[in-house]
Amino acid sequence: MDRRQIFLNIATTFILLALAVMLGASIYYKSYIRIGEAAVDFWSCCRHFFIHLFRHRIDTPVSINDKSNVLEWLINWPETWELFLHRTRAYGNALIDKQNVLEWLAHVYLKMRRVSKVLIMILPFFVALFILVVQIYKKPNNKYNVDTKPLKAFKWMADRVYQPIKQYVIGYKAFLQRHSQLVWLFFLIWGLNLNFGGILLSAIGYYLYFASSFNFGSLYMQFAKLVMDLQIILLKFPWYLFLPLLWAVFHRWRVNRALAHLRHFEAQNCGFINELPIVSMVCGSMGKKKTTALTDMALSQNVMFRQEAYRRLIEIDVKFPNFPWIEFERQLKTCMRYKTVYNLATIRHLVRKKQVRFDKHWDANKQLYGYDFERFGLTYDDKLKTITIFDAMEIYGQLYFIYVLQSSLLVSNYSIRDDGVLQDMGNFPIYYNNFFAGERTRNYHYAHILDFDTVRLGKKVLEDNPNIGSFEFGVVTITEVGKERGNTLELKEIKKGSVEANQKNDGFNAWLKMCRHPATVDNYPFIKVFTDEQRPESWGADARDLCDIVNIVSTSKRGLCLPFFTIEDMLCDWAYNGFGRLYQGMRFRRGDNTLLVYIFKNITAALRRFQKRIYNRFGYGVLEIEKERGTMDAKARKCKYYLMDYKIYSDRFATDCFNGYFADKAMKTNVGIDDYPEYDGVKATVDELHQQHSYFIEGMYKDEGGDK
Amino acid sequence: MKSIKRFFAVLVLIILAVLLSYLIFTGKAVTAIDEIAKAVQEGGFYG
Repeated sequence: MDRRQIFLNIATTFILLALAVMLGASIYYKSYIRIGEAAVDFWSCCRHFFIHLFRHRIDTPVSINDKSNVLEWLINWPETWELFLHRTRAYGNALIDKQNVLEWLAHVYLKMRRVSKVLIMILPFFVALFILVVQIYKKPNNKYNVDTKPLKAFKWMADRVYQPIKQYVIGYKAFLQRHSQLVWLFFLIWGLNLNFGGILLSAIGYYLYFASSFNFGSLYMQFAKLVMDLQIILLKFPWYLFLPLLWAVFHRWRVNRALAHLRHFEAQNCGFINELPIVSMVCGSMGKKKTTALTDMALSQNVMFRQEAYRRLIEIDVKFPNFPWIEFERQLKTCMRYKTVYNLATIRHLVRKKQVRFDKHWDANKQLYGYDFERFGLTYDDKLKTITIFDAMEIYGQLYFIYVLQSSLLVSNYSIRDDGVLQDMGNFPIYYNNFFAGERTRNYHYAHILDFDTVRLGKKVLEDNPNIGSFEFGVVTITEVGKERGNTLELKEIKKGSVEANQKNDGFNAWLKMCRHPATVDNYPFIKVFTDEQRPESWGADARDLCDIVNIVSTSKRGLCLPFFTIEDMLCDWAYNGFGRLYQGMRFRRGDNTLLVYIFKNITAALRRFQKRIYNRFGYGVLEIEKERGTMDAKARKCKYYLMDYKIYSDRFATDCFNGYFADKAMKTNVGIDDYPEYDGVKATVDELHQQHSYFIEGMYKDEGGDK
Repeated sequence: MKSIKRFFAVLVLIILAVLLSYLIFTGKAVTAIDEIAKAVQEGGFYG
C-alpha cells in the first residue's frame, strides 16, 4: 500500500471521528446527559434489587419509573396508560370513520395532483430528448471499437472523479477490515450519540427492578420512555440513512431463511442416500442430470462418512473415558506422516503389536501412554460382549484414520472437486464441509483416480500393478458403468478363460458383492458405490441385481429459496430484456461505442450479476425419481431429490468428462462441420445416399444386388 | 407462472403502500385532534 493511501486512510479516520465527536457535543449532547440520568436510574435499581435479594423490607426510592428531566416529550406519544388507551380507541374509531376516509382520499388526490402537474410539465422535454437521441443513434457506421465524443468525455470525467473516489473507498474499506477496532469505535461513539447507551442502561436497570418488584403497572412508562429515548434518532438523525441498514438487516434475515431451506433439502437428500444399499445405479435418458445427481450423492456421502466416523469415535471415547486418546492420536498422526500407517490394515497391525508387547511387559507407559489400567480397567462390558482396551484402540484408530484423511474419500472414474477442510490446531481436528458457505474455500482436493485393478479380484489389466489389493473404503463413483462393464449380449463373444483381463474374468462382480468386508469398521461399512447409465439393462444382471435403481423421471424448473425476491427479480429481468432489444439494434447499426449503450450496459451488467449470484447461491431443482430394486421386478417408489446449484454446479465436475478422448480425435483430423458436403436438393441423390456410409442404405443395395 | 407471481407481488406492494399511507394519515389526524383538545382544555388555543 502506498504512503498516499495510508495518509488518506488516517486522515479520513481522524475526520470521521472528529465529526462524530463534534456532532455529539453540538447536536446530540442531550444523549450524554440522558446517559448520566440513566446511570442514576440504574444505580437505584441495583440498590432495590440487592436489598430485596437479601429480603430487607426497606422502602427504596426508584427513579426508573419517573419521566426524564433531560429529554422533552416532543414526539407526542401518550404519557400514561390511560391516555394510550384513549388514543388507541380514538384511532380505531377513526380508521372506520367515513369522514376520515374522505379526507384521506382528498389528501391523496392533492398529492397526486401535484405529482401529475410536475410529470405533465416535464413530459414534453423527455419526448423531445427521446426523439433527439433516436435521430442521433439512427445513423449507421462501421467505426469499430471507436468511442464517441460524449463517451470519451464521460470516461475522461469518470477517470478523474469516479475512479479515484471508488479506489479510495475500496482502499478505506480494506483499511477498516484490517483495523476492526476502529469500526467498533465508530459504532461506540455513534451509539452514545444516538442515545443507545441510555436505552441500554435503562433496560438493564429496569430488568433488575422488575425482577425484584414484579410491578406490571410500571411497564407502560418504560415503553413510553423508550419511545422518548428514540426521539433523538427519529427527530435529529436523517431517517433515510437507516434505509441501507434496514435493508441489510432484512437481507440478512432472508438469506438465513434461504440457507435453512437449503440445509433442509440437503438433510432430505441424506435421508434418501442412507436408504440406498451399498451399490446403486442412477438411470435416465440423456440430459436428465444423471451424472449431476450421482456427483451430488457422492459428495453428500463423503461428508456423511466423516460424520459417522466422528460419532463412533466419541462412542469409543466414552467407553474408556480416562484413556489418553489424544496421545494415541498423536502417535497415529506421526505414523501417517512417516507412512508406517497408510490404511486400515496397518492400523490393526500397529495396535496388535502394542497388545503383544503389553502382554509381555505390562508397561502401560509405553503401550498405553500412561493409562492407569489398575484403577480404570482394561475391559468394557456393554452386555453384548466384553471388549478390551486394545479392541477399542483398533476401532478408534481406524475411525480416526477415516476422519482425518487429508485427501478426499471419493474414488472415481471422472474428476470431482471436494472442498472439505480439516481444521487442525494440533489437538483433535474438525472436519468442515459446508456446501452453502458464503466464502469459497481455497483448499480443495479432487477425487482419487479409480484404478479398476484395485477393485478386481480376478485378472488385472496390469498384473504387477502396485495398487492391487489396496482398496478398502471410500465413496466409489463410476459414470457410464454399462460401457465399462457391458451386459450379457455385449459380452457374448468374450471368453472367461481368456489370458487377458476382461469383464468376465476380472472378478469385479465378486468384489462388488464383498466390498463391505474390508470397509467395515465398528460394524459400519464405510463404502458406497454410485454408478450411472442410460438404461439399467446396459449393465449385466449379476451386478445390477445388487443395486437399487434410481430412475430420473423428470427435472423441475429452477426454484429459488430466497424469499421476497420477486420484485428485484422482475426489475432485473425488465432491465436485461429491455437492454437486449436496444443492444441488438445498436450493434447491428453501429460499430462504435456510444455513451447511452455504455451506461445502460454497465447498469444492466451490474443488475444481471446481482441476479445471477442470487440464483446461483439459492437456486435449486427437484428431480422426480422412481426407485426400484435392481431385479426390476417390484413396484417403483416415487421420491424427490434436490439439486442445489451452489453445491453441485460450482465447478464440481465436468458433464463432458470424457471429452478428452473426442477432442484428441478431432485434433488429428483436418475437417470440421463446415467442410461436410450439403444436400443439393430436398431429396437425396444416390451419390448422396452412398456418402452416408449407412448400414441401412448399403444393406438395401446388397439385398437387391443393385449397382452402387 | 412467473408473471402471475410478479403481478400479485406488485399488487400486494401497492396495497401495502396504500394501507400504510392511510394508517399514517389517520395517526397524524388523531394526534392533531388530541393536541387541539389539549390546547382548548388548557385555554391556550383561543388565547
